Amino acid sequence: MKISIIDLEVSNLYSITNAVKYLDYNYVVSSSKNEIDNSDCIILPGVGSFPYAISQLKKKNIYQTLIKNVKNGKPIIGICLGFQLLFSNGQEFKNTNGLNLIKGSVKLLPKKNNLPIPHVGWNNLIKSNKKSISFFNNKDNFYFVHSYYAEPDDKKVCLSYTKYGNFKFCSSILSENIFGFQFHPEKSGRAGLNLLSNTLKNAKKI
Amino acid sequence: MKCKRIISKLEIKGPNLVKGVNLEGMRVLGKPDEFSKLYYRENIDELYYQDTVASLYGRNSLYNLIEKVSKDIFIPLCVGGGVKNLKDIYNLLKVGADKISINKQALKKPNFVYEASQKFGKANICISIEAIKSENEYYCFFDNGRNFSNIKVLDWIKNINQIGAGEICLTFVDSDGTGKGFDLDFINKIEKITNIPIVIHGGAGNKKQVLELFKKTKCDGVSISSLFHYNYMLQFNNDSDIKYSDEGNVDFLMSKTKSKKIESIKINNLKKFLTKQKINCRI
Amino acid sequence: MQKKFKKSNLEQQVSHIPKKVIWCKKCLISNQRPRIMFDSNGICSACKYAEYKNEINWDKRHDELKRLLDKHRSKNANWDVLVPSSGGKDSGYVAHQLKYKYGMNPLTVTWSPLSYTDIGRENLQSKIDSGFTNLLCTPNGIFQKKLARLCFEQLGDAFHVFVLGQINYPFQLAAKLGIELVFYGENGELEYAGDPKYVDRPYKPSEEWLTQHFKGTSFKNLLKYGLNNGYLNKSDFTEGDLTFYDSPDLKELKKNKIKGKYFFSYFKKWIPQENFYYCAENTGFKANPIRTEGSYSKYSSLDDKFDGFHYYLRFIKFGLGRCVEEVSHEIRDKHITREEGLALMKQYEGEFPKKYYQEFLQYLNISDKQFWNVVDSWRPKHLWKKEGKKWKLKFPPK
Repeated sequence: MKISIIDLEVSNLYSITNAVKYLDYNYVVSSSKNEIDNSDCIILPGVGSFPYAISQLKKKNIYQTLIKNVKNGKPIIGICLGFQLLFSNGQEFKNTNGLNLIKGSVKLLPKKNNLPIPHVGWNNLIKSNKKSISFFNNKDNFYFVHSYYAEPDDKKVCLSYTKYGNFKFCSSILSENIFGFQFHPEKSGRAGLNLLSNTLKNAKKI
Repeated sequence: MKCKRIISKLEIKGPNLVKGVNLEGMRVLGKPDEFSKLYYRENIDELYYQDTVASLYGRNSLYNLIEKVSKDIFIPLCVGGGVKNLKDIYNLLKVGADKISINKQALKKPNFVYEASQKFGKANICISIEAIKSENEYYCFFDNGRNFSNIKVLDWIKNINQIGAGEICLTFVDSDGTGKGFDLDFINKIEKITNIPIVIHGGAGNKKQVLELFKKTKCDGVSISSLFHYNYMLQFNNDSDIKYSDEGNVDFLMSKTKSKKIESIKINNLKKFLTKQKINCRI
Repeated sequence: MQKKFKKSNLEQQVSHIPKKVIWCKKCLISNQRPRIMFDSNGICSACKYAEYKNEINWDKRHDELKRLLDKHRSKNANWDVLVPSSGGKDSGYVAHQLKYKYGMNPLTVTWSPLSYTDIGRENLQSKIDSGFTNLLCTPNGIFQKKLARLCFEQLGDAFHVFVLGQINYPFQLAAKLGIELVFYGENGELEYAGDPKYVDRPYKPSEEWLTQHFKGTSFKNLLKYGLNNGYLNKSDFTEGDLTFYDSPDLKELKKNKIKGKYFFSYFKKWIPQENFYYCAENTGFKANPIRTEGSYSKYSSLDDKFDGFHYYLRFIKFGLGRCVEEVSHEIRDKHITREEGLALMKQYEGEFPKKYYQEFLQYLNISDKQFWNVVDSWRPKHLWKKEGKKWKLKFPPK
């Protein structure tokens, strides 16, 4: 299976490429329509700001390419900001349209209970559907670093919830060929590598 | 539930991992990549890298090291030292850094932090503060604790609130390398004025101090150097395959002595101890 | 005493330095340092000694130390060794090792700095609290200040007044208290100048050190000049006040079997940075929260507010400040590269010690204008040139 890892020139690609390499998959780092079209699976990583990332997607002319490929059934794995970009819109700095592959919005984490924003650090995932078990365990902790969270309109796409203080948000999604993780599996040690491996195995079957 | 973060800070000078006292002295304790891999295996949550001579040369020299360690280490890496412009940040992220730590340039040009947050995301920008007590007030220092900024730590943090940053890593220079614990009162003062996650560095000498830090403050994580380095360096003592550079203050390393004042402890044992005391950790 | 400043020829070092400036190829010291030597390859004698240090059989030297201490150790735990100690890392290390590792009974003695810093006092107290009786001698303030001014103007170094007591006080006390062994930390002439006379010698005999360190002029000459030229009045001091400024009588020293200055650095490989770590761990030593002006380190010479002026005047007289000494020693220790040393020198060498400048002027009872008159009078023509309003070194390090 050949993976195309999208390069927006803000993301930490080295970590995700290292992880993919470690798991023994072929990959290409790309922002070209052809390479994305020719790949079997897309990873959309993310570090940075929502509006800037969207503008980069458009600048590199792959905004539509991604939408088209995914709608045609190609698996896509969105990570952190990449996960958020999958949604309809985001509110970081200004209201920006996302890829709209998952209906829902990306909002700022609520400033309740004086909990620091961004949500940084290790947190666990609470299973929210039958499929969750094939991706992670209850005891696993994953590395989160985000100020915004994604709220899908259809709760059924949630693969897991995570609690930050008393606030519960959707921390991963699975909708047919669309996988998304708010946290960074490539930064979550052994648990993260296992999750990524399981995800890629699932993607392969699609 | 969110875990408290157990982080190790690796101070780097050239090819070596070094550790001083009060940020002074550059005693070599070993090779940074070996320590990194070992700590990852030992279940450390994150690694912070600080280039201690970056400010002297006006550049960060950790690119090769980060590129190397990020191949086999899949936990967050924060890198700092001499970061002056957006290109520096981009270049470090490109080789595998997840977060960038800034001190001097942030103090001199606070707007730089805002620009960096805009471009790279606030969450990936860490403001490092070197705090030294002078006449009962904590002041910000830079250039590895050498130069004085005349800015009070509390004032600087209020300013950071306006500018925005992912986290603050505060180093208590007065306790750095001494194992004498943390100034919990001051941390409480900081917590009253900011919501930004705080990681505390400088003074961890035993597990009780770390427990007290988490019980009595709301800090997000603890960054530990001496306590881990002096323990784990003993593991390398018998490894004759490791070729040490003879650059730097290697006398202590070559003498294979054990540091007297450091409690003997492993990373996972610290975490288990904390978890038993109801401090949530990633085991 | 506002006499117009007129120079004598009490100072004998500056006139003897070579007129052509050469920088060592290995470290960063120059031939302007009094008593240093350069070989035909442009390597200085201090570097040569540093290399030699690696060939020394330190186990053998250690045995020598044990034998020496066994000979002097008091059978009834009375003071058996005198350690001149500022409270700094080097003397702290020596005193602590002598007591806790070798079972000696040291008495530590301190000749007060011109003006104590807070961190200096703290470190002295920490050292005392780690188990030492300490005698601190603070000389007559009126006399000291006037003498300091004399030294500043006529020797180009106010600090000289401290140096007098620093060397003489321990030996005067050793003679008075009957302590045969006087132990210093490093042999400065060897560690920083590589004087071959002192290689492989555990101590410097009293006869020898009595003639050195005084910039070519005895205390008696200094006093006489001061009285004759309006710096001092007879009413400023009593005979008693002069006790510790002057050298002890050689006969007294010999009678008390005081051989001379023993150096710990002869018996153990001397690494100042490791002394810092040792003291941080064992005597509660704390580095200065603020960097020492004129250099990069925070653990050297922290006890005297006016120390910076000693190094600043050195920079004026020889083109060598504080940074170059530290950097050069670290290069020789292989702690840093020459390149790093140069970068450090660029940032810190010759930095004006402005923190305590006003206090210093008050101490010497001179004005800013007078200060600069004196300083400029000490600039050798072969070292300095004026570019516009600024003075620059003709031959900077490279």
